[in-house]
Amino acid sequence: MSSAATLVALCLLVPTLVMAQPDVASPSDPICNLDTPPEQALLKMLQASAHQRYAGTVLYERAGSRQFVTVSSPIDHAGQGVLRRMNAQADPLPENWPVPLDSPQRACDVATVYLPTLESGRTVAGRATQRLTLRPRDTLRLTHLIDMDTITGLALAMATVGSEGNMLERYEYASIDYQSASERDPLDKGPREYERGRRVVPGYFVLSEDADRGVFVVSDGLATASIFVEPLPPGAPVGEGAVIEGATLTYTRGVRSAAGGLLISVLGEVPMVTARLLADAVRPPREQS
Amino acid sequence: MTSEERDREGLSALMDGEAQELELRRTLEAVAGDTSLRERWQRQHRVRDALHGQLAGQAEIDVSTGVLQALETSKPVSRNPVWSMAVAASVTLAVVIGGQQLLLPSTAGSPLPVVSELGGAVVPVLGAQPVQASLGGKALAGPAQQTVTVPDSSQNIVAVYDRLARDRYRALNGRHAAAAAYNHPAPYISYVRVPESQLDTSAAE
Repeated sequence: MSSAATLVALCLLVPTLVMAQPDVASPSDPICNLDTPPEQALLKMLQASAHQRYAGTVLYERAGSRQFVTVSSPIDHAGQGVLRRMNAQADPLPENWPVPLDSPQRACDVATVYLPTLESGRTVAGRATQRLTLRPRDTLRLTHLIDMDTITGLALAMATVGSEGNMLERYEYASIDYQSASERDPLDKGPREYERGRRVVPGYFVLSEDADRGVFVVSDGLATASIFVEPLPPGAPVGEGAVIEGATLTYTRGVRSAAGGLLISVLGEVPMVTARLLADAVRPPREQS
Repeated sequence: MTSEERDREGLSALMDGEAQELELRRTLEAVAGDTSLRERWQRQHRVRDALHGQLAGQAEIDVSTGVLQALETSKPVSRNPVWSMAVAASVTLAVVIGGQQLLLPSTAGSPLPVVSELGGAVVPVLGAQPVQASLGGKALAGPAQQTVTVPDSSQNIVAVYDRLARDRYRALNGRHAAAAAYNHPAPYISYVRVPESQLDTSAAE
């Protein structure tokens, strides 16, 4: 078997191996009850990110990095938002970003694995906010502190906190202007659908996969991790390593088996334990039986 | 030694990370089938957490059942020591979950313990450029060409993998950002995290 074919076989295995818990959502799945004020706030915040129209200036910080960016939301769901980095030396080029996923099911998924709490918040960019805290119900995710606009629900500030209480990254609007509802595109078709696949590790579902490239994306509705499967560099030892930049952890593991060497990389805003469990899910084909 | 005493001793070894794979399997099976042993397991974790000044978590995952399932679904192909260690590592992780502890690195570049401390001679990695299996798809940028000498030392293996992790972060973070943007309350933050030169917006199109 060629190395390429081997890799594909390895990649294709992932869906069959980690599907021990068939928890595939279907349109007929019941939507959960989001009855409590914190749960309602969670739903409102997630919907606002997909439907509000705005432009503003945002400060983003993490260890060793601080950026000012200007952002404007997509003018319709077919379009993309625009981002400009104001720290750039020359006239910053525009970059695009997509409309986030919007689905009650997504809010249900988030509420399943995070415990939302709500309290009064501070003023951010001249807007009154509520503090929505999303604490993980297990150790497989990070904590998020969100200051959401009391009126619109948009997340005006957000800090991601590690397991030891250390702040990993944060952003906050310095200014924001909303478009009125009348300025919205009347032909709004809605954002990309939230289509979750099978469950991989507790609370994480496959969102997309490309077996040809060995790329898999999983999410719990809020945190996302990408898994990349590549051949292990020739002669490389077996082992593991990790680096963290802000909230993004990069975990690599080199493994060898009868099928050959693999380098598994997991990138995500997830704790180390989650990255390791995701890497555990990748097995050589012979282990299927 | 009675079966109960052996189970308790196995549980202690598991808590201390000293259990061998076979002992792990046996102990976890015992835990799964014995309510009192399960309660003892949880008590020990609570006591240890308290000793470490940690609050009890809100775990809703049946850890030991999950561990057992992981073991059952990850039968090694051979007696290859690598895979045995991989199984052990997996179990250790699950135990860590039960203990409400995380292994998140506190700072970038801080060394992490090596799970697979393989013996062996000096392993030179000359021009490490993997063959890409694109198969019609757009190939990922492989690990950068590098010449790495890895003496037989766990610390050096850690250094190699930390370097590999940085390399893969630089190469793949743009792709991850494009995927993560759909789930972030502020989607552009996924892109802001990434230096402009590393962006790959193909997934957002």
